[in-house]
Amino acid sequence: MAAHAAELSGHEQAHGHGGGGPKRSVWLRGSFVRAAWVTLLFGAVGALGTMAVRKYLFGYPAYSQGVVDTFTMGLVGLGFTIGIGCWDYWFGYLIGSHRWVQEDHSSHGAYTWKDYFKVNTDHKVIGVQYLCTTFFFFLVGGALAEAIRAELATPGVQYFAPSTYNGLFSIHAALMIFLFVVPIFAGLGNFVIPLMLGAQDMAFPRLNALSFWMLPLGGIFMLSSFFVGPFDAGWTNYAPLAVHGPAGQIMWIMGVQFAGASSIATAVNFLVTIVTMRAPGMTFWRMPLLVWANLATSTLVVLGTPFIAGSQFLVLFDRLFPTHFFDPAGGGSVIVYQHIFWFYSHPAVYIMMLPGFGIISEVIAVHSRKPIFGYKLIAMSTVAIGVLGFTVWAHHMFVSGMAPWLRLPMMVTTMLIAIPTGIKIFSWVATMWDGVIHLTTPMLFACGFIFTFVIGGLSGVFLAVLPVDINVSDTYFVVAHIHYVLYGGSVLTIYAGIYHWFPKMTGKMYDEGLGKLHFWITFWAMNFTFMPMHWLGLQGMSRRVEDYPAQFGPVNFWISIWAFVLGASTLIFVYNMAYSWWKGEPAPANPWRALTLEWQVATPAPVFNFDEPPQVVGSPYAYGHPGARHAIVTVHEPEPEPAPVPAAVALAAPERREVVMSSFKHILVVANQTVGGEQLITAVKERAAGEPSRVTVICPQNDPSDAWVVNEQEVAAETRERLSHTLEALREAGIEATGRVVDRDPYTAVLDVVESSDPPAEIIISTLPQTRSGWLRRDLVERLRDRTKLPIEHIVVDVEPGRASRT
Amino acid sequence: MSALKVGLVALVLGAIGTVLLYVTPSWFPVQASVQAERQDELYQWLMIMSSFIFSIVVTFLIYSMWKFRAKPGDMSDGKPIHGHTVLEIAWTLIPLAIVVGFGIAATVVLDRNERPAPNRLIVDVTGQEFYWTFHYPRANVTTGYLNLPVGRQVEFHVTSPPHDVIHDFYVPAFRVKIDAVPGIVTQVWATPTRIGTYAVICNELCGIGHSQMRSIVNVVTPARFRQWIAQQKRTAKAPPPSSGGGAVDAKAVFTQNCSSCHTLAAAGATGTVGPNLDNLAADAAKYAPGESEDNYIRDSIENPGKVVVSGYPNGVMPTTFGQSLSKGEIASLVQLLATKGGT
Repeated sequence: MAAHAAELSGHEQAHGHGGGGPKRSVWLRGSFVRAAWVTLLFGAVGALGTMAVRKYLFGYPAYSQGVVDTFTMGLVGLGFTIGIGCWDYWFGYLIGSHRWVQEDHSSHGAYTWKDYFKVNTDHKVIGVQYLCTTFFFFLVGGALAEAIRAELATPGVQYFAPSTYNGLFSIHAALMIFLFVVPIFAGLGNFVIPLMLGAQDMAFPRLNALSFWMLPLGGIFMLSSFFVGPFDAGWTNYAPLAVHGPAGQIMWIMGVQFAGASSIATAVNFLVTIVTMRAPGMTFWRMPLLVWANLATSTLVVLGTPFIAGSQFLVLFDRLFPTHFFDPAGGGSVIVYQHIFWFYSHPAVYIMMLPGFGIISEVIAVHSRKPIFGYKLIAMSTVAIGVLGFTVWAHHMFVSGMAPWLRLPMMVTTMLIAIPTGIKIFSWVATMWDGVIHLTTPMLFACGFIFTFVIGGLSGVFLAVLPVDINVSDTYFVVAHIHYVLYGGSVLTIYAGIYHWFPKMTGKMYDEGLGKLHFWITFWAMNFTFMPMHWLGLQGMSRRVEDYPAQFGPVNFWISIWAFVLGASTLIFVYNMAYSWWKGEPAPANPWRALTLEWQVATPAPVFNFDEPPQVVGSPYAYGHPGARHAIVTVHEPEPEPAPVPAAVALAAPERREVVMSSFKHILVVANQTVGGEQLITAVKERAAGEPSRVTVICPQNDPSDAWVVNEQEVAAETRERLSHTLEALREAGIEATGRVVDRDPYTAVLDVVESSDPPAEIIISTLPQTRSGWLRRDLVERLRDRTKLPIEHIVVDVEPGRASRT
Repeated sequence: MSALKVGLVALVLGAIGTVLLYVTPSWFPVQASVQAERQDELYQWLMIMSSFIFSIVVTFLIYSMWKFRAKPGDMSDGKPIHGHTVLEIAWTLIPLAIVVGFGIAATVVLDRNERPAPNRLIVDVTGQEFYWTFHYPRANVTTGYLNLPVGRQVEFHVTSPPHDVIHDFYVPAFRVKIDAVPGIVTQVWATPTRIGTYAVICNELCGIGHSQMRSIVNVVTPARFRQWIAQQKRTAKAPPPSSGGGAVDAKAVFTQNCSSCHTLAAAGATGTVGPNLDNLAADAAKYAPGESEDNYIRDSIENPGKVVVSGYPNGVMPTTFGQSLSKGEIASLVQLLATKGGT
């Protein structure tokens, strides 16, 4: 059972590799040592193998830069993930290894800092791994940006050859997008979402680990392109320039493939987790808005990312093989590249923004001590942005020479996106109104975000208005817009999120003073850096130029100075995070007095998050309602003497065998988790209203597939409490009701009653909704209908208030 | 203050922003076409809309941050307000009305900007790595810069050769822009309204010479334009020069074809994409010892991949000069480069 593993001591777990077999040497177990030699081996096989195939099978010259590079990098990536240990469990299963055990939690949870440098399947560890890795690439991308600003500080060509300069801004954008903004939200989501849902982990923890370990490969490939002739076609990598580019092109394309695969796998993981692993009572309309945002984002990733992967493969084929997808001389089309590319890359803008919206919704509600304003409208606007996001891609192509008629519909859809976005902004401000606002660092970042994002959103409307876009597209106006939405939007929300969840992630408080200093410098430097770029663009300064007319010199100098300040402000954050993690004040479990589930567990969170699935009973944002709760979390006492569980105990009160009143209609009610809910009681009352009836309620307890049940006695005691509540309610309504908790599985329990001396005339089966009901998953209702031939009414109960608990 | 009062303050601030838009110096670069005037007007309306929206959001934001901030030790909660249906409908429908309005305005402006006039002048524009060529099909004149008559609509037919990359024909003063795409011909319209000289720039990343890929457009009176066309025709009709001939203006050929990438003091060129041609003699001695400098230059023009100066990547210089330049032009270039304009 999963939760039993949680009770093992950390020491046992950390070293319980391979189901307790002898510990393998460092060369053979998943580690950086093994990763190094396996990667080298795969790289060598890739390079030599490709050359051998070329030479001996096809008779070509052995070395061809593009082909050999591509296969070598593909195998290097595969070799690294194998070497580090992402595939060990699957390989073990595949070959029937004696080390393989089904419930292998040996790589789950972090007990020392070293565990953060290994393959780990704990979503919380993976979340932190993501955050640190992506932030590293943020710093590298930022350094590239500072190099760009140094070059642009004065007109003319100063420090970099044109090809290097083109590489700087291309890799800057690519790192920031593919290695920072997109994956850091996956990192935050990884840490927070399963906790928020009341789940023990993500749906596919091992896939989750693989997703993470593919990511740094993408970044390293992209950066290494500087050594072979930098990738210099801009992050959009438009063909045919992409096809003609230097050798670094291939490194970049392979980097995008790894980052993209990582992104898709994570998104699938999030989707399955959110849809299937919500705690009981967590209806869609009770999900925190960050979960909604992640649901929409993951859908966009799954549907969109294959398009960029495809577009880059086509570029690769045009380069390596005699294909002509984008070569007009060979019958190809140049513009089709842009359609495929933007079909991903516009939704990518929302992939980079929606999770930030979710973070802001959490932060603002919690730190304003007020329910989020217009919860449903915000959730629906998130979905609307996701849907509309797929209908606007060609607004990047208003001057591309695509079919002219296509511009107007794309303009309309683009402008429509302003509406759900506006709804969110207005709702956030309305949430703050009349609140009790604690201006902590995350809240300051959230407020700063609203300020900058309004500007970014409005400049987006400028760009949507077609005639205006014709003038400013591909100028610094676009550079200003993208940085207002990605820095002023995404990055500020990322900071808000990291500060907000830092106490839960590390168990330490960050330094509030440094946090506020970081905010104010970042906020002003960001606006001073990017605001003047609007003007430059309006004047007609192209983006992606190394040299520009002297008239723009002073403004560019100003921008460069503030860009350096902005870069320096990031170091305050790095220092604050590192030092606070190391020596910060210990954080309480719920420093913000938040209602959502991630704050209801201990800090640091237990390895499997929850001892029992929490019972969600209300809105995640019911601030201001005294005593309101989002969920009831049951925490097991640390040392319950593991009392032997009686094999089969009639757990219920002594059966009330009264006189059988055979003239009364006998209704059998079968319910377990849902017993005690008002819905069930009402349904039984209705059913029993027509004629004299008596009711027998049975609660079948034994559910072999239910891995959640960890302490049968306690669960049975709770069920008994709810059962007696139900029976009381029915008796009050004048219905003769008896009930018992039975230690059988539901199917057998029903048959027991049907075949007894007192068979029922009708059966009511009450379950949780389809997605969460173990009974429905085993088709209980249909099977019983077939077997008993009795009328069976099936009631779906979604809410179960009044469930007893110890918190 | 009630929400209503804060809202009023926000509207007043938005109005002040609008007034500032009109009393401060213009944000726009020089307007030299009808299209520019219409676009700038639309832009101005967007600024006014933005002024109000920005004021409303930021006024409420800052007022809330100040007014509702928690006093130290205040552990209470705010009011349990979950929403307000009328307000939520309002802030869905009002922005909808605004974007519908701008959608209609944009469509009207676009339609008027792109409606071809019957007497329009057609100019073929070709972007190549890294220079522009302009062709006047009716007069059959080809130049490296644009000359346009004021007041007459121009229809640009823009393209790029099949083996080239995407460029973007952009005249900021006209506010017109369209990609030069290999394999297709794109169109854009401008009606110049102001006599003067303006920049033509490449606005789509096209490789390492991108920021140098510039030309100019002269807007002149119709009379001057006719004069210029006639003069260009005479030049074009001039008999092809004999080898080393003087009829071709070598510096003009250089300026049009080479100067965006190469430095040559004699031609006043300062491009930095390709090797500095003032050092050409040294390079020739280094890379082609024993060969005549003339041959080295000719080879480098016609077959640029044969010898590549170290520090400069291969494959950047177009390989099409052997075809696009006449024999006379190449000869004149060779002479110019060999002598550095000394003779």
